Amino acid sequence: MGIFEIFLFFCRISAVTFGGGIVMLGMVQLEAEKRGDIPADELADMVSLAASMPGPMAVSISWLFGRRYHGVAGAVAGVLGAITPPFLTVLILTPIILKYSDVPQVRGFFHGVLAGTSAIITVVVVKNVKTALSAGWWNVVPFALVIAMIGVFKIHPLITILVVIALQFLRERAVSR
Amino acid sequence: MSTVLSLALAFAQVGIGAFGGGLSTLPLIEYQLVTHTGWLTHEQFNQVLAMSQVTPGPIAINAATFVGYQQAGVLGSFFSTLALVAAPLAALCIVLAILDRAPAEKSKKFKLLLRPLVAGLLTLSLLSPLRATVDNGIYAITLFAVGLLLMVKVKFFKENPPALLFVFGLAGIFLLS
Repeated sequence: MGIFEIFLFFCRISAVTFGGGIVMLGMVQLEAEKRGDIPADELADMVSLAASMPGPMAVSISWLFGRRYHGVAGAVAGVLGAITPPFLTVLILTPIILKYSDVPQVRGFFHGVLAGTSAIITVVVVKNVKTALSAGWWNVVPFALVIAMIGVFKIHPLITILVVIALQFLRERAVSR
Repeated sequence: MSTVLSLALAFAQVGIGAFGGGLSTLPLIEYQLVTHTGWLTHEQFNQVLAMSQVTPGPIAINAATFVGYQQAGVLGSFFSTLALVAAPLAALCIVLAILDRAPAEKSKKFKLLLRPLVAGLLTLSLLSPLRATVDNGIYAITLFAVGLLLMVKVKFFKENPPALLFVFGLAGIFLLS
């Protein structure tokens, strides 16, 4: 895959992927499997690493993928491809939204979308909480800690996240000893 | 200039703390943009959330482009998005340099450690849109309930959540404006 082709590959996927995250990883895996020039297990490793790194997954997977073909130049091309469609779309929409956000129909549209978003998040939450908590009794501790620190004690989410990750590492070390 | 700098700093933090991707980033975005800086009102935050669900790309990129523009025009948009992307990529490069041997196994284990953390963050991310939906009245609450039903029962919407959101946006124009 050439450098410009990498850019187009991620442009195309990113332009039709709404919401980002896991969906984007799945799309990249699917499209790359179709091409067949990266072994499946190597691809799975890239997806797994992208999912465990901070930052939008679209960004980390396009970096890893582009890097696999053309080093840093390919990585940059991949990331640019992934962020150009959302960047341009929102750049065009923002002035319009800011100008018309008080029009009742515009508000109505957003309130409708928000009601649907709440439903989607609820489904995602139920699924994730079930999986996380059924994996072992300990998982209740980090789960509850995150909600208490951010939701109740209003501690900076970034500090909370780092504290909980550190706690998870300590626990992992204690258990495996 | 100082606005652009504080935008970049705020979004670099969002990028670094964005574990789990997508919706689990919401508590951190909300903290940075609403609680800490006051750049967005709760109503605007929910609008950005709704918009991000019907535009391509991850919510963090959509939020960076939107708030960057709102605070400092196209330049603000550009540097907010750049900071959001560059900070986690720097982390990724460090990890790649350290873990060049066997990143796959380690990242899989790390992903398991992240799971309860992400579940907690997702739960928190539900608060703002759900509260807004309840405040938007009986039609919005009904839409939410219908949305839950459609997401669980109808295969088409399960596989294409954005389609549900567009339908709900249209419904919102008539019911909620």
